[in-house]
Amino acid sequence: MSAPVRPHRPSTWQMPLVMAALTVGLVLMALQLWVLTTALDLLLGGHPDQVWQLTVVSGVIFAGGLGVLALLRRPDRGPPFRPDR
Amino acid sequence: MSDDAKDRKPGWVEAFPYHWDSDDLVARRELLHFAVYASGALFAGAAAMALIGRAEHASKVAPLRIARVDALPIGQAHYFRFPGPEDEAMLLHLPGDLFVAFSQRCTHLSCSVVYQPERSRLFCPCHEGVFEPRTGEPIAGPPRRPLKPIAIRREGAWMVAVGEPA
Repeated sequence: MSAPVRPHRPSTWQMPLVMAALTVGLVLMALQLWVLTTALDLLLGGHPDQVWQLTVVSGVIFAGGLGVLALLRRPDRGPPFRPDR
Repeated sequence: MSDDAKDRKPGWVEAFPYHWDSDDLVARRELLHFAVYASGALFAGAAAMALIGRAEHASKVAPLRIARVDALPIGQAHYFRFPGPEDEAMLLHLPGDLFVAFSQRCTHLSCSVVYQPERSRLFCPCHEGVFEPRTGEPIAGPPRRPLKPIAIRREGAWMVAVGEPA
């Protein structure tokens, strides 16, 4: 019987980074939701020219999220760990 | 214990094939992915609104003669339809010889707003919303957004509606 394959354990800096990214990401998402409601308010209020600025803000937040995803790309872990083998 | 029983994997291993060490990381990464997708959806919504606003702004409406200047004394309102036949609007002649025009549609629940010169206000009778007549800003009641303004200009003896303000 072969020894079980140990899983890739997250390095010490990865977990705090993921937690920080999640926290900041959720706060920014709340901000983005507020931006969306404000954009709707401006559109219905007859000020569509200002919606573009809010769209840019929303786009920057989205691009930041994509950047975080790229930064935290998971390394190849190999086969999954089977504790019963 | 037989070999068959030894080789049989517990059901939970098939359903959740992650070691406990990596469990948290997987769940958080998945949440992060979900958050980024939701962020993209919110961005798409904001961009769609910007495009709709741009399209509405770019659509040209034919100028409309509203009323003769001398037929509308100070403190009076003239009600008309603009830009479409279903769009109720009003032209106000305010003290200081100031002309302003707004959509009559209340920004709360779309009832028709009327001008009350004796109280210097625009009033929505449905839910008692009050707007400031010079700017269309809400000052009392449930409305939170200003009335939609209409751009006007004076052409000789006539006030003409030309569209939405730039």
